[in-house]
Amino acid sequence: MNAWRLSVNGLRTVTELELKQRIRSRRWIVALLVWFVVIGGITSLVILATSQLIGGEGSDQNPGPMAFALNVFFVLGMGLIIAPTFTATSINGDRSAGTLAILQATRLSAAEIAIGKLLAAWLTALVFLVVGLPFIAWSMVTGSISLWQVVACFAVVFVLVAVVCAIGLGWSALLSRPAGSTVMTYLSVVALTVISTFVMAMLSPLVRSDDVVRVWGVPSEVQATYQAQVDNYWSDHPDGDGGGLPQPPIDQCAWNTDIQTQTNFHMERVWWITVINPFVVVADAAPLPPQAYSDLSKYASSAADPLAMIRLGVRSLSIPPETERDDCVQLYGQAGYNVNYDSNGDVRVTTASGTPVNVDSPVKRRPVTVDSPIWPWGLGANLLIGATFLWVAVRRLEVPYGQLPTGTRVA
Amino acid sequence: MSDNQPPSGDGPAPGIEAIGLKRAFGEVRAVDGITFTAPASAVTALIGPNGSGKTTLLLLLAGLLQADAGRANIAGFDVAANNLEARSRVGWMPDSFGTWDALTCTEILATFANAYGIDRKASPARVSALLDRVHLGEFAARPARVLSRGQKQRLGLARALIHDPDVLLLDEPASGLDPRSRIELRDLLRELARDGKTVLVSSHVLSELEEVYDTAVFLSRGRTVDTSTQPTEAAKRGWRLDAADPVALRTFLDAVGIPWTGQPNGEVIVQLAGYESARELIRAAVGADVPLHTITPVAGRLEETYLSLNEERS
Repeated sequence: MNAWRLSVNGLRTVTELELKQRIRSRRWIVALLVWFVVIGGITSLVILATSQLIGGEGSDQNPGPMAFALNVFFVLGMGLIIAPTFTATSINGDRSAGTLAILQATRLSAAEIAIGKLLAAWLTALVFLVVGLPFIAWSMVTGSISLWQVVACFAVVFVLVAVVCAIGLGWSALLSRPAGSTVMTYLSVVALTVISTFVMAMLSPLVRSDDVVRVWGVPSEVQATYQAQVDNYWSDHPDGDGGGLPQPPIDQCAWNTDIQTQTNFHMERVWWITVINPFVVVADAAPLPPQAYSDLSKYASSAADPLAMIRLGVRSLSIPPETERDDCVQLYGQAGYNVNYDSNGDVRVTTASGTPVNVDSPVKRRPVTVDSPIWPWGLGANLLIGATFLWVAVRRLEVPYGQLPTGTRVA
Repeated sequence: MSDNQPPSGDGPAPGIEAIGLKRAFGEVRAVDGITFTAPASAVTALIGPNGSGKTTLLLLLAGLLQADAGRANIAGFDVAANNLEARSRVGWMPDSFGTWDALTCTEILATFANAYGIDRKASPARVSALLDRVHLGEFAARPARVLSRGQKQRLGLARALIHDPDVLLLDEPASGLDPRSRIELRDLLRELARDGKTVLVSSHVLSELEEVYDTAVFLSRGRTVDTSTQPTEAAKRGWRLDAADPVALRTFLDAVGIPWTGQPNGEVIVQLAGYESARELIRAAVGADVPLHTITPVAGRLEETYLSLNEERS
């Protein structure tokens, strides 16, 4: 097919033309300078603020991951905002300026024009992202972030920006008015980032159901008696340290014989909607330190790392609700003990001072692991969307025109 | 699939060959049956009132629009079946087009040289030669935004010529040009025709086509008008006469019984049917010793035909 004929010369011709036309203007230099100052200011603020809030004397937390995550998200967010401006009026704008048809009349194919425009827009957006790199390097050094993590995060950000460029190009080919295509491009970005996650959240009532659950616990009258004892202790010792608390009646723990139901939100049916969110994709793709691989939830909560927290949140949503519940071990939690799960999903209870307590619970909890990454699905879905919009742009640029879209003139 | 050789036939292929071309936009039948051939090594004038389908026809020939019916050959290549080959042989200059304001004239032409796949090493020489040819040499390194409307028009013409096309489609190329540039354009078109190009040029300024065209195609409501059936030669057209002695001229006209109308500047207008009648009048006037020094048609041939089309329209 003629429309898809690609040559290096053709791509180079269109890309050079677009870049020259864009970069030659003085506004471009001004915009880059302003951007450099803005991103420098924001990243410095983030690094300073996180170092004030996290860590410090006697804390084992490092402000680095938080600063790095916020900076990566800032750069991604700005990239998603900047990228549409380079393509959202690229085709319909050229058409109304009278510079499109004379290019289409040459030997250039529709694909060469579309992909050349996409390449030029992407390279321009990348210049903006690269301007931010010194500050990212700074937060990398102060936060002891691995170079590998920086490279991986930015590679994913670059690809996502290319997708948004392609979406803008598609809209500019579909709609005849630049204002319309700009609005639709920004709406598409909002749909990917905010609306996807919002829709998932709003679907939660639809995936709510009452499920049968097997409960490991104590008889309800024993539970009531123990609860009364605990309440008495706290009313007698309002300022107590929990020293004389009654021992939970764990010797009476058994599988309940009567059938119990529990209301569950089956987010595992809708969680995938949010995987398309570029912020989730970047968070999930960010390499983690080795200690996070055994137990993600432990790492996320201790390290104050938003990227790990998002990854944990999304993966937790993907896990179906447990069909067994341990009410027994909850008694320890109420009584001031520390309740944790090891990497096998077995419960580990310790006293406040750290002495292990022997608890024999048959209920295991599935730990959240990082074994199966979800970001390839999110990135893949984004790439598919971008490819679709690019395909639309090529089809709309194909000459000779058959049906002309309403409100469009050839020249 | 694509054959790069024009189909061999008898004699030289005409530059443009259109047979029964039709193209509608929704309800509007912009081109509704256009058949004509434009020979190589000639300038063909494309004439018709606004909305007669000139621009749409040029888009069809430039390979940018699909015809609903009919077919067109450009330098022997079918525009539909062999679009790319046909497109590569056409230099198309639309009636309105934009420029890349930040680029210099040289860069714009070089871009199009690249777009046509011209060897990147050979293009600088070609670009500078073309800029000189359209008298924009001094603007070679200036950005296109400083060009006047007429200069942009000439840059557009250079752009249409960058790949040395066999067929030139020019939509109103003279609009915005000053008188001197118009004369230069006329000479350039003649030169191109002499080089063997097929030049199809539309214009509203008929007096300017008058001096450059070899053949003419008339459009009316999206159709070609068969000019051979137009009674242009037989119909009476106005001729302007002037003599050193205006009174003698008037007396002579009264004597031979030709009705005349006087003009404020002393000239008279008479209605004559064709060149034969004009020749007879001259012979008689000279025979009668009238000091006749001017006899010229009031309007050009194109204008006469054009006006007769308009009469047909109303």
